[in-house]
Amino acid sequence: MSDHKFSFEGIGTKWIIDLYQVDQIDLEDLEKKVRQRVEEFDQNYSRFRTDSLVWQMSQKTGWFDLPSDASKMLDSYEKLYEITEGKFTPLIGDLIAAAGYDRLYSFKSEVSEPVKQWNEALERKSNQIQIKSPVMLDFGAAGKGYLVDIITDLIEKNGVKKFCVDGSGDIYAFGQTQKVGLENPFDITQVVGVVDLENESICGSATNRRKWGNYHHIFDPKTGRSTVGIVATWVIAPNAMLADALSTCLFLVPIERLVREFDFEFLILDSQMNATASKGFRDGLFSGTK
Amino acid sequence: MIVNEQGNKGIAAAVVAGLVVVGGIVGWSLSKKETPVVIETKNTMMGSPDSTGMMKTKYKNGNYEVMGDYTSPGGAEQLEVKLTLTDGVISDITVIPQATRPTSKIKQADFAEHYKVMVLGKNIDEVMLTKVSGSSLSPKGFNDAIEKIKSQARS
Repeated sequence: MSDHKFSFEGIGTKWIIDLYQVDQIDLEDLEKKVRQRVEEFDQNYSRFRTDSLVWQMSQKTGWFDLPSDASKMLDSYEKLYEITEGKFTPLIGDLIAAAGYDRLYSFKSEVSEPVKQWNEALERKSNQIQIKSPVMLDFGAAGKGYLVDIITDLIEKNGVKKFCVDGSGDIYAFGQTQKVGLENPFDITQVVGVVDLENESICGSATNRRKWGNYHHIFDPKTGRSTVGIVATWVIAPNAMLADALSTCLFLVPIERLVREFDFEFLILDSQMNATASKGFRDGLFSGTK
Repeated sequence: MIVNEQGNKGIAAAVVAGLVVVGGIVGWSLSKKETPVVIETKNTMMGSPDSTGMMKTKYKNGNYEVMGDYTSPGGAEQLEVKLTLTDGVISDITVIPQATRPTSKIKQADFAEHYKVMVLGKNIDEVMLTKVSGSSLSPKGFNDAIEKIKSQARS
């Protein structure tokens, strides 16, 4: 039986799909379905294109119909918004853009308004959302993880029994173990550990790539600035949306607040290469002492 | 029932009766320093706590194993605690969660020790791996814009 790998650009990053033992699978059809699904997601949720739903919602108030995949994602954002007391929020888009990471990548920062509260700007009702005050939503914190899960379901439904979905470091390993290296944010030719992953997801967040001026892409809505201290986080969880969201939450709130609500493994790295790790990461780390 | 290495059940019984782990305790001292650890006690069979809550009675030096019982909203749970008493002070302690319920496992993880260590990087070529996880690769547009700004700054 043979394996097949394909890769593509999607939602602003690189994707690699590994399919194992695929002799019975229509690969051309499956690849097309995956690429289409990714493009559909981008068209709905990207703040970088003027034909997206998110862009339209930033331009005027009123009620908008949501795509059928929206409620699951918004439910997660709402729950984490409450748990983090508003620090994890999709209403962060205007702040990030004002800091320079805007649609045109101007990287010129300007003064911004305080980040809006959820109830101030949004109201949900079944499959619709009301924009009460124009706001640029950003789903970067959990959107990619959610898309990893969506693609995982799609591939599974198309009959592949062993595969791996890699959305540039947000990974789901289905039916086959992956040995995942944890990229050293200070030197990307290195890893600081390796963990085994099977039938679960790992998501990594770090400040090393998307940075400019005094900023990196993870913002604290309370300070209006990029977070300080933590350089990289990883989370292993049963699904990628949760892993992705929690990997960002770790920059924003103490671990304890998250550990009591969810079952997950975590690794946090600071600017001095000090790591704080849960049991599941412990054995995989490279260190001088144990 | 707990026993210490000398098989002294009397002291052990008192300690276990007194040692109740409740969800809010985060004050375990896991260092080797001989500093007293404050333990919340439900029952003071031997001696009474002073205002800081510490047991005043002197216990025999030695290693003790305790099963702490507590009630989570899901039901009864246990936490195993191994501690070493030296001159009436806990000089070493290990907490081992015994939780069977998922929620209790999570709550016990609150006060099981997080592992802290300084990590080293190893070259990717020297390591057996199939994937790498870190920050996402940024798109060409982003990278080009950053390069443009950098070259403008140089000129």
